[in-house]
Amino acid sequence: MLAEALGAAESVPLPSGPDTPPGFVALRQEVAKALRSTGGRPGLPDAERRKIPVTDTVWRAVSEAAKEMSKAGFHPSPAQVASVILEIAVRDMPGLVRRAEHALRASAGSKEREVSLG
Amino acid sequence: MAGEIDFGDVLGAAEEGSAERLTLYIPSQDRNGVAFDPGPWIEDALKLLSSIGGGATAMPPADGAWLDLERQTLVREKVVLVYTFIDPERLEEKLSELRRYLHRLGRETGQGEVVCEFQGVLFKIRDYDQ
Repeated sequence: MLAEALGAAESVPLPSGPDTPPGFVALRQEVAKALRSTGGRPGLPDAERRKIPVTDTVWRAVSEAAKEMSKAGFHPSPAQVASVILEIAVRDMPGLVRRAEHALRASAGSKEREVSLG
Repeated sequence: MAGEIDFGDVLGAAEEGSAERLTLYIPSQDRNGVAFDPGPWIEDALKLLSSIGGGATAMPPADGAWLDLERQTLVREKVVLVYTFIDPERLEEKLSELRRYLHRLGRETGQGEVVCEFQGVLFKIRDYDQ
């Protein structure tokens, strides 16, 4: 939409993400805010389990992020971290749709696994 | 809960922060390598972006390069980045004005390409409105 509004001939997604310190801190806060305990292990309220295909590379990155975030009293699971990342991404939908389209076109045939998020 | 910090509260911020940065790249040479004074364009960019985000910042000149694919030449020049963190409603209101500024910049300073960056995407403008 912005490309059309500006009359741009081309739009190029730039590398970004939670691999820089400020991005990771913000993600950790979002996960902490989202997880709430109703007596047992903190979970994501109103979330339902659904199957989403995820590559091994992405799953490893998410698992590492969950490990980095963990400290006394706060142990998010990789699936919970992935779920919050997806929620943040949906909030930034226009830019993400473009990047997702580029990634999907480029990644046909990559090895995927299905994980349940919730 | 462990890990939860509201930075706005801690800092005593007056309003919710904006995470969406809009950056304009102001060149200093035309596509033939002829220099021009970018000062007025930087001033206009600061005014325009301030109307969108409440304030704007112009960075010190950076070394820039642009590859002219048609002529197979590399234009080396000083580039000034001017950015703001947008108010989404104000950006929507000012979109036409932003377009007019960028196209005028490209047309009047003889640019092969004018770029701006928003939400992690670089927009390249090559065909300018008349």
